[in-house]
Amino acid sequence: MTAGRRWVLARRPVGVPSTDDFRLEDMTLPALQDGQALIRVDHISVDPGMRSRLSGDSYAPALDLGATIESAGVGQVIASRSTKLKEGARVWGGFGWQTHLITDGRGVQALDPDLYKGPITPTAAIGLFGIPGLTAFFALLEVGKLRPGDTVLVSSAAGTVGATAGQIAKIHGCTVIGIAGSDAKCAYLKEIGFDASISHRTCGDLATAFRAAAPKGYDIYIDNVGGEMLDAAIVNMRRHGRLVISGQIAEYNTTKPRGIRHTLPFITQRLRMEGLVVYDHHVQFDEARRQMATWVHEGRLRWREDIIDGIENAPTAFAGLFSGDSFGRRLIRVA
Amino acid sequence: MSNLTGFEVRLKSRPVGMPTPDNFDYVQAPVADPKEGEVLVRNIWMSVDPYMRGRMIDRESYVPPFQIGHALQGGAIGQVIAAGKGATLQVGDYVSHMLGWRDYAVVGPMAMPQKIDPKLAPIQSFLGALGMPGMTAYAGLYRIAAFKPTDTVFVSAASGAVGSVVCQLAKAQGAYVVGSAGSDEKCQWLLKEAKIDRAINYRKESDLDKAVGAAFLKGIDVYFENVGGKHLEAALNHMRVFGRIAMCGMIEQYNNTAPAPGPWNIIMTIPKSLRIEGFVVSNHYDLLPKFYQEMGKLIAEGKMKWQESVTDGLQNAPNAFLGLFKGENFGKALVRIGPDKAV
Repeated sequence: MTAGRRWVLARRPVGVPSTDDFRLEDMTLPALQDGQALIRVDHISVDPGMRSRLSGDSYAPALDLGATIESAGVGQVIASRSTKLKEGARVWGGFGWQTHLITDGRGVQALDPDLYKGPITPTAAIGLFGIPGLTAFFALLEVGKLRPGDTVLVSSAAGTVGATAGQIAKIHGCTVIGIAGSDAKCAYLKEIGFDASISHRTCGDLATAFRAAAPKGYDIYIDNVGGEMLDAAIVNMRRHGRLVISGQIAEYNTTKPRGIRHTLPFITQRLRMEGLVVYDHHVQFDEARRQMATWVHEGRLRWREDIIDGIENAPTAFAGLFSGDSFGRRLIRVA
Repeated sequence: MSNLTGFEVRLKSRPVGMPTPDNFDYVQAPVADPKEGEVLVRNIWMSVDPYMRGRMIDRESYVPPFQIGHALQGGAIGQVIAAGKGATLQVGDYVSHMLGWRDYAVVGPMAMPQKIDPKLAPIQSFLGALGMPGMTAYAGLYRIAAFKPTDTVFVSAASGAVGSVVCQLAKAQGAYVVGSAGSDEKCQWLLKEAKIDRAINYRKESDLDKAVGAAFLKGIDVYFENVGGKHLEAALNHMRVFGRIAMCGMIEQYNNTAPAPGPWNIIMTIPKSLRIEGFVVSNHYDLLPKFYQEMGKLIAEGKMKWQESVTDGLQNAPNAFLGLFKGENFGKALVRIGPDKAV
């Protein structure tokens, strides 16, 4: 018998989630049966994309009230009656916002010691090598069809998706301009090699600022924001430009999204806009991770973590994503 | 100078919002002799197309803007009545070119002349189903939307010059095709002549989104966009995973002075992994031989039909153009400038 805690959905959030939408519960885990293992969760993620499942909108099935909040996590096997998961093994999976879980091994993967070494710590499994990093990788190289010499505009550029995308574009010989929400974030973008940055809270009219940063326009836009920022990018795209829609944080908390206004440039500039669900590329995940690991060891790819201590802080950390108070991959240290 | 005189339609002023007859001038103009490599063409037919509205705005676009005080331009079919030295076209040849909106045109390489075969189909079809609109349908469906016979296909402005060809190309491959059009007459034509599966009269639907949903119980694989606005929003809501949207035209928006709100649901591109791609037919003329081959076969088999909406007289060309935005036309909008034959 193991005691633990977990966050469950108390009610459906309207607009930006508040702590009252969640409830922290004590739980007691039963004894292990054959084939099961007990995992102690060390870190969990908070992701903007989780928002839609809390309300249950037209495309994502809703999380049930009372269910554990879903998220990625890393942890360690602390007891095992499974032949697959050995006691002491470092693992990751969709653990959710809880301190412990019992698993039959489905959806749980052991960290490959060949990959997780040196600067690549276990938390990379749910950051650079997890959904955010892989999203950046496939957004640029598969969906965006990145070509050397392209001019690339990246929104939420100090976040893991944006920062990874920008650095991968630099590795491929592109000009990269990042959009972020503070001077500190903009300074960080310069530090990791972006050619220029735009602070969207102080730059005035977005479309004008985008134009000033690249008067000839952009070949690729990596969109994590949506709404007005996407509109401002659309009017600054070059002919045959590609817009990769990997996130829409500006739209997640609205009951009626704003969407876009500028649709004619799709024709006049022959633009292509494509949505990305990273799991569509799952057969290439390991290959992508190995490639990114090589870049990390060569010193060409960096990432930043924004770790908050204590599972009790998960809802606040999650809500803060929507006001842009995170800086890097936001994780909660559980143990 | 030849001893001919003709008329031409000039842009008098740039329209703001919906164009009016006052934006046009119908004036007499001298006719020049063809110089080396040029031919003099007497126009028989000309095309009016929604894209011309964009060229009336002074801005950078995919074709340069029309100039005030100058004749408008656009697709036309005529017959060569005089040839300059070294011209490859001969007197009597029928030619498609880009100098419409006038009785007589001096056609050089810039006007992109193409000799047409009057035995293949009536000559005006080279402005419609066998011309730029038909080619737009073909490139948009096959190349941009990556159409497969098992796809479900939604077409807006489906009885129009582009839409009607899209419908029948897809139908000929066995696809499930639904079109939207603005009158019962157009819908009846789509069902009976173009033989598509369902037709939606969008003017009669209080809830277009619901009507589209009811027509596509399993969702849409390909949406061929000619309209914009509510049509695009409805399509986005009902697209299937990995759906493709070919952005061909947005007639609803061409006269807007400010971009209209929407589509609000562009976020659908993520969970459904949608691809939305705009295109301009001029980038896809490498497909022309395949296009003629496919169209020739379908016309011969009676599987490709089209409607024409003919206005007589060059002086009435501005009204024919304005009619495009009122949904008055049914099928390819054409202006008959003069009798066939010219020589």
